[in-house]
Amino acid sequence: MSFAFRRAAAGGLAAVLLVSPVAAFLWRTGSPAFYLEGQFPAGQSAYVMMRPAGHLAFVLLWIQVVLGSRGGTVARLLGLRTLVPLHRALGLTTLLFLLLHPLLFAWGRTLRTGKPAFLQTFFPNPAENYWERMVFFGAVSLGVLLAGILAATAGRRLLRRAWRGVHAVNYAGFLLSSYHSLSIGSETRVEPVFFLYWALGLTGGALLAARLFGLLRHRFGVVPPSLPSPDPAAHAPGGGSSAR
Amino acid sequence: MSAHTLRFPFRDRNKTVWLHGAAFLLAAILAVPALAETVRKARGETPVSPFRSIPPREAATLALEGRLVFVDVRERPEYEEFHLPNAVHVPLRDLAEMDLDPLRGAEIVVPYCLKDFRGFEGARALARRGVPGVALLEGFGVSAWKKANLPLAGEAFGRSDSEAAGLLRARLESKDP
Repeated sequence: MSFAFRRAAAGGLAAVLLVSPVAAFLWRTGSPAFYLEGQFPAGQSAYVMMRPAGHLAFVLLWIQVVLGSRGGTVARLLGLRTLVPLHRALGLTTLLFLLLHPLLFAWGRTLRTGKPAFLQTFFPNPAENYWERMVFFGAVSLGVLLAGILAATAGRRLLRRAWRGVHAVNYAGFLLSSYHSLSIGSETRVEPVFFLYWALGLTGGALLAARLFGLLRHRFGVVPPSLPSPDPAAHAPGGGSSAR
Repeated sequence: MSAHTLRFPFRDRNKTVWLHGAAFLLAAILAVPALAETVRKARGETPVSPFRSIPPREAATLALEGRLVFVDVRERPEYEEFHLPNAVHVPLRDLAEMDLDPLRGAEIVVPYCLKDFRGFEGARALARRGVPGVALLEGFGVSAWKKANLPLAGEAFGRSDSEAAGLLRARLESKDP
């Protein structure tokens, strides 16, 4: 199989993953043009548009988890030297949709109630009810992801070698966002999207488990002779990333 | 073509700019309806809902008379936690295929959620299916019901539907605000 074919297939897979939940959203909600006409209660358009923003953020986050965990393997499969630049470039895009999702929700709530709802959205009270509890998981996930992203950008100089450890909290952020999406997501219970979200969540969890296993094996020196030893370049001070 | 001969993807600044440009454009498209709504609000235009708005107390009276049916479009754990007395539970995603029998005989059907973001989508889905008399609670969903000091059923309140309906009847008869 040629590398060009593999690259096209990888691009196609990413496109399908990104488009499927958005297609389910369009199928269920109808034409988004309806939300330009103004025949709806205050804040409805922001609430509705929050949903595709959330889908895009989640799928992009999963792609980032794959690139961060197995970027080297994916790069080799695609005949590329590295995917780190792609991982970094996609990071900003992911962050954009990660922030847009709650911002639109808070915006919608503000328009509906006539009172600023940004604090309530970003710092929800989990004791209030089930919905707020699930929003709380989303808010915690966002906080964790922001910490992980900051560690990989500004924190690289400040934290030196420790940035990689802090950046790894993104796994927790991804798993929390999976729980948030599957519990209160509007399209995530529609069957094809339901299976897609579970598959993405489970593969994210499996990649974390593999990473932890690899870390423990490396830390305690239980590397069987038949297995390749860990790449020392990846652990060199200030250098390398798993998304090679 | 052998491996490692290609240029690094996205090390090229132009490609990164294109990716970020496309992402920002898409984000802007998603924000456009909310921006348009904010501008309309700033101009003093009042949003017009295509559905009738019923005050919670009037809706409660009609529900007790059997002329109005509440449809809770939230998720199952939310419904179990609390809901309007005798509300039918159909999650939003199932409205398009739901059995309409529980709604037959009702003059008015009121889908609802916490603040009627999902309630409005539910109203649209029911109207698309030809359900007549679709309306929303004035003041939006459970929050309006609570503001009107009307009782809820469910685990959070330790009340069954019949207990909550009895309490509702007593409260409406007492004429307490």
